[in-house]
Amino acid sequence: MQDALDALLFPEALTAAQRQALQEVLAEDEALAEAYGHWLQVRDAVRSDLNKQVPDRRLLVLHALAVSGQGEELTSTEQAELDAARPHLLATINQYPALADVVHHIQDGCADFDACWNEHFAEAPAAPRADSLRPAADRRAQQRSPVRTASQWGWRVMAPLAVALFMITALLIFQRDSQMVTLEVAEGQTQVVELADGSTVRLLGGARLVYTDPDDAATFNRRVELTGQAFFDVVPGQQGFSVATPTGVTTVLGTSFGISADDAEMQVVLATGKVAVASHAAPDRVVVLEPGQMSEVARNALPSTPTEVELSEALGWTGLFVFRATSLADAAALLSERYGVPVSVDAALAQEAVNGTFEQEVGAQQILEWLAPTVNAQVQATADGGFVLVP
Amino acid sequence: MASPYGFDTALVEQAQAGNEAAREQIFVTLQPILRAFFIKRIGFKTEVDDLVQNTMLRVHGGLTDLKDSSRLKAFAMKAALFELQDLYRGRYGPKESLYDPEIPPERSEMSNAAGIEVDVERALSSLTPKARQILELREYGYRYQEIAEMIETTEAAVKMQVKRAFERMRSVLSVAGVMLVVFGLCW
Repeated sequence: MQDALDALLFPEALTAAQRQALQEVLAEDEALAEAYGHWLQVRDAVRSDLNKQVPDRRLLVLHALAVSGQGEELTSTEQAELDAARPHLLATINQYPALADVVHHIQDGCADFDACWNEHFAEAPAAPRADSLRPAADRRAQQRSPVRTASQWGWRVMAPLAVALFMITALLIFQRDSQMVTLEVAEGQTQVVELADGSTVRLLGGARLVYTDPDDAATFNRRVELTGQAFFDVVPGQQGFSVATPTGVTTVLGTSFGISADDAEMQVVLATGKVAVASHAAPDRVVVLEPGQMSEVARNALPSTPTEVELSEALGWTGLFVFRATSLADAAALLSERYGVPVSVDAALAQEAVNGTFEQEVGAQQILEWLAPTVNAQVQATADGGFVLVP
Repeated sequence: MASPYGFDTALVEQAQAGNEAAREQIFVTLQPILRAFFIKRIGFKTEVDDLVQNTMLRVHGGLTDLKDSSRLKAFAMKAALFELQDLYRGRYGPKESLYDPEIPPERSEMSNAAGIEVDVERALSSLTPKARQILELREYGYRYQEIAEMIETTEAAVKMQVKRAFERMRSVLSVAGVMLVVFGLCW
């Protein structure tokens, strides 16, 4: 019952099979199905009324700006729109107090935008100026207009579908070109590759890796080329290990990190160690990442300022949980959210730091069983179908 | 707060006048700012690409109408904030969610399955202010993790409130349902 309730209310981690099982539970438990039906009716009614009362959410943004003293950011047309809508808007905020939270949230967004804007221009070599424009022919070769970007985005969406249709049975394609190997991973697949120096690369669907033949360690130069998404676990070595993508290069000595790259940009998330990130356009302008930080490199742009990320979330696409000095309480909360089962931690253990990289597919219990000995804890099942870690 | 940083107004005016090079210069500069902003707001999520793209298209479409060339920052900020609102609105709407793992199974069918019109006001009045706040924010379009950040608590605490709200509503509505049936039989 508790499992079914959790699954009904928080279905984000359900697999297709679990969803089917839930349907069967509802078919057998009429009382639960009825209560759930009522619950959905109430939620639908609230959502429907919110949409009816605030059909144009731009007005909430304008209101948030106006009440935070940023009314000068509104155009005269926007100010007139807001003035006309204000009585009804205030009445609706009074009816739904949570809308006041939304307004505060928007105001926080303004502050964030301001910070990102100032940070960018503080770091850029120079603010863009009209007199810095080069001939259009040069730029067309290197830059993208929004319209072209839109079509390329469409292509990025369609390409995996086309690949999946034509390569549905082909999981891997190896092409040997002298001593280099090109590995392409089909959509929906994951492939782990061990390189000649013992480093491993976990490649996600659609990724393409070019590297030295793993059977010939003598020729391995610790340089690879990547397009797509991959998680690297690099063994320490005298020579730096570099990953080149279409937009930049990431260089490391020994570390673990994830890269997501296409023709337009790459994103690097560092789990352990230290990496240097640079663009092809300015290879000497490097940004150094610390564990738990992320940077991006767009084509012909400098790497972005490192930003702090929650590792397991930022690297969620790898199919891994990456815990690095993560508190046991946070790890438990993540597992609980991912698998939809209650996971709690005794207060004495809550702030214990845990480390490790785990395949998500092994499940919550197995990961807890692995984590527990590292903090002298035991895993106990709870009556509600969850787990608790106790000393 | 006024920023000392920004675009050269002459560049913006050239872009407004149809200079393609100026437009491209502006968009190449805007893209990483928008990306950093959206990552800051919603995390490292797949929606970021779409948000950046849509915001750039909004700015692209409205740039010509921008009356004050020194206000490009405000213009871009509002476009980004509008996009975020559209994102929240679209998360749980039936049209937009061909498949969303956060949508409960067969939601539309289940919501009509009870066959009895629920007294929504009665149901909502049974909730604590905190639970009602969470329910409203959820239906506005926020995820539980985002709600937790907004009301400065943990996601686990938010979900506990949701479970209690469900049980509370279940209790209230089942009594109401029984009374309705009894009333109907007597009538």
